[in-house]
Amino acid sequence: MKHIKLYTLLILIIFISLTLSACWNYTDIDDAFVVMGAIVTKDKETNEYTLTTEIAKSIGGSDTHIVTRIESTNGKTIFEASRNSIKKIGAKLYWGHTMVFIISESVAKDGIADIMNFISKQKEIRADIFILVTEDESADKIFEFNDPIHDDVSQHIHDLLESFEASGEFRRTPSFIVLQEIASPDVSLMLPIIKMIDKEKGNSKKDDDDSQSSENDDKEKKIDEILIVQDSAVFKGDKMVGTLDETNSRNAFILKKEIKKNYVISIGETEKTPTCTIEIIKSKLKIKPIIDNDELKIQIDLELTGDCVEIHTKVDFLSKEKLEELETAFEELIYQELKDVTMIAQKQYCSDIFGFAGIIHRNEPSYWKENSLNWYNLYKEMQININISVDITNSSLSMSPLKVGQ
Amino acid sequence: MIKNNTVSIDVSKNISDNKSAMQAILIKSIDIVYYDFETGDKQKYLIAYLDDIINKEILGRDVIGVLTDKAKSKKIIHEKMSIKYLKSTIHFTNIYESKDINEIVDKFLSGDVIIFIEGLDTALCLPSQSWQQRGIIEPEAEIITKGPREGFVETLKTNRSMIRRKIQNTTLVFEALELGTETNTAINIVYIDNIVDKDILNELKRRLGEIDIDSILDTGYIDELIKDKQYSPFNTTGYTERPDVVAAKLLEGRIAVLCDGSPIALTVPFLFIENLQSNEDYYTNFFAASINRILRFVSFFLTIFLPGIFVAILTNHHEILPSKLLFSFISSRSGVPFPTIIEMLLMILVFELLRESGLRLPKGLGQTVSIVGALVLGQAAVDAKFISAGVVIIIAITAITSFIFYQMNGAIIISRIFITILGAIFGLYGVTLGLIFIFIHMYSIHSFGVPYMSYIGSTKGQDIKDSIIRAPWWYMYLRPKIIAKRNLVRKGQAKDK
Repeated sequence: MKHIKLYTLLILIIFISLTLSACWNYTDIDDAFVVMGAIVTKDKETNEYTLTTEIAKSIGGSDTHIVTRIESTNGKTIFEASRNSIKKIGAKLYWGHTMVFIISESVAKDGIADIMNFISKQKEIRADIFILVTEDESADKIFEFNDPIHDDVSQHIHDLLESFEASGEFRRTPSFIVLQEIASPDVSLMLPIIKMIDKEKGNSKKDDDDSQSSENDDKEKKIDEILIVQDSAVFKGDKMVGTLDETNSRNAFILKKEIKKNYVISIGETEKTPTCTIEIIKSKLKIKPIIDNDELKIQIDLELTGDCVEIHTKVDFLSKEKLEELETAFEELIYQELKDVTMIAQKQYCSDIFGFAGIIHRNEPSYWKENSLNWYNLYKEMQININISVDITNSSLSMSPLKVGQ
Repeated sequence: MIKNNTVSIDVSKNISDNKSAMQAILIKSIDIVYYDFETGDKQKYLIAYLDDIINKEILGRDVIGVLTDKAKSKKIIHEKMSIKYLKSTIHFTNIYESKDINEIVDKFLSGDVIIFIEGLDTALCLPSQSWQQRGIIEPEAEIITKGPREGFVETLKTNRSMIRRKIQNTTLVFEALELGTETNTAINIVYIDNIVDKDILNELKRRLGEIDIDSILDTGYIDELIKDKQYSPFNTTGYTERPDVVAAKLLEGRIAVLCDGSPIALTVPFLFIENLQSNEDYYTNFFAASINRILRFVSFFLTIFLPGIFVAILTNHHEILPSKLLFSFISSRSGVPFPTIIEMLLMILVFELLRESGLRLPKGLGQTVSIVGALVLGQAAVDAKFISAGVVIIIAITAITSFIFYQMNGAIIISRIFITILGAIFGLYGVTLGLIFIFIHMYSIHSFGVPYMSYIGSTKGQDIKDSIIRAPWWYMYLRPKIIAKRNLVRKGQAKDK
């Protein structure tokens, strides 16, 4: 028993070091009130943040279904608002499975840095939570939307963003990318906008994904409005400066190299060409800064290879001569569209959403060093040359137009 | 009692003196028979034997019959009576002569027939043991689908014969000794002389020699008494009921210990990896065997860590789960009154109860237990919101995987409960700590000088050939380096070394 002191000491050291280092966070899983999504708006009277959360819980043993509850609380900070919800809900909110975080337009215009600060500081929130912007009018209504396919609205929005590639008009914006882009001087942020629109209006939209979901609307509840992710919010620094519509968003993403293939471009009927849709199967984008007598220019070369998936004509447009005409028409269309979006970004918003700054920074470091402080003035006046070539190589499964028997 | 009697008593020329000397040592018992008879030539004999464990047919025909016949036909005179004459007359091999009553009593108790001859101060001990023994059947604890089906029985001689039949080699050695001051149980050490490591053999003999116990009724007694780390739950001696397994281990340089009265052979040294090996691995295709090995490896981790990891995630790390799984766990737990850790410990306990009760029951009742276990606990307990479905599933997986390691059951149960409690208190951090703790412990164990965890984690070809995979036979040209270092080469093709 002469070692009794040594053993006691050893046991004490082990016990204390164990208890001091562990997280001591024993919570049974069914006690967690899981926040699926949150919307931040601003209370106009008190100028406090209003945090609207969608809280989900599953009940019913073997026959599981998820029930949700929507609760709004106010606070000077978002964290305070989240803590204030204890009074209403009876438990601390659990943010570990939050999927979407929606910021209202008015808050976004004041700057989202504070909100991103909360998101990155909060220990439970994941780094891949999606950040979106919503119109002020829609903010209160988003979580009330009832989609019978999804258990909760946040899951619905999450799924919408997950399938961004096929649509090409918006992109996934996990919080770590948002944080990067806010902090980076090389690029400006673009966030997708989620809104509620009239059902009829939604049906008339060409966006297929969302019009389909509206068909599945709950018949018992009469829903006049449906949820849609449409347009993009353009930021300068952390402040929202404006929006881009669907086509402009897509073209901005092409220039950002966010989308490279699988998106579709359609051309309407003109005198020369019929209505036609091509799906881009390969694209090659080169953006190069050119410094000509101290004058900065950007040269954009875009080579698209497409697959003609649908064409409304009786004339064989896929023959060699006619195909060239079609390609030229597409080239003109895309040229004009890209010109438009660069003009809006340069002149209207003066926001470098394409990340040209980064490209200049990388390619011309010495020039960037001299002119980085003056960047936005340069950007506004900068000349952008666009060079497009469209190559329609494939014609899907049939070469010639369908012959209609008389 | 007998051993302590160090005073030696010599055999007397008078058989009635001998009888009383024997009776003085042996307390009267109904199965002790003294039979004295006189042949035609007036020669007196005293035969002593234990009634139930000798072959009386042989005794009557080949000993008493022959002695009386010879006396009739050939009237030999008294002076000619000698041990030499008797040995040439009696139809028996392996006759032992003794002049010491104590030694004779020992022989007598082990089933020898003792013959005292009037006028000679030497007695003859005829080994004519015979008793009923169980048939050689496939051992129920080690059933395989492909391979030999014989298993050891309780008779040492039969067990020896089974090993000898498998290894017909001049170097196979059986060494006898006796253990147990009251039971005088015969123990055999078996090894192959030119492969075995002499240091290990000497160490085993030393430890067996140090055993001081009144009785040995099974090899389990020896197992515990010669173990390296006596307080470790991990077993450092292997045991098997199969002669083919013993033969294979002997050929790898290991030593087997057989014990009379037990169908289980011990093998030393024993490495952890042997828990994951099965004799069937060597009888089937090496691909199939390797897959089974990997499965056993995975099972070992599952059976120890699964409940702990489950509890840790459900109580400390909700964010690890995918959202859909989270909700399915939440709903399965909704309405369950106990915390997850209590639930899990209860179910571990219930499962062990089921296992234990199922083990001891007659075969017919075993089914009742499984019905009660499956229906009452599995279904009703979940429906009644007493236990959540997730816990039942985890316990089921744990149970299935634990059956693979019935040999190290004790170690696994202790580790599992230890990890589960750590997981509940400290989360995955605790599970990791537990893993480190268990590994440190396992790596600190030796079995007869050989590290218990040898070959685990080695990347050398000849080391992993028989660990996580079972390499094809043509590739296993060396014996285990650490056990059979004296005679390493199994077959000719060995290039390195």
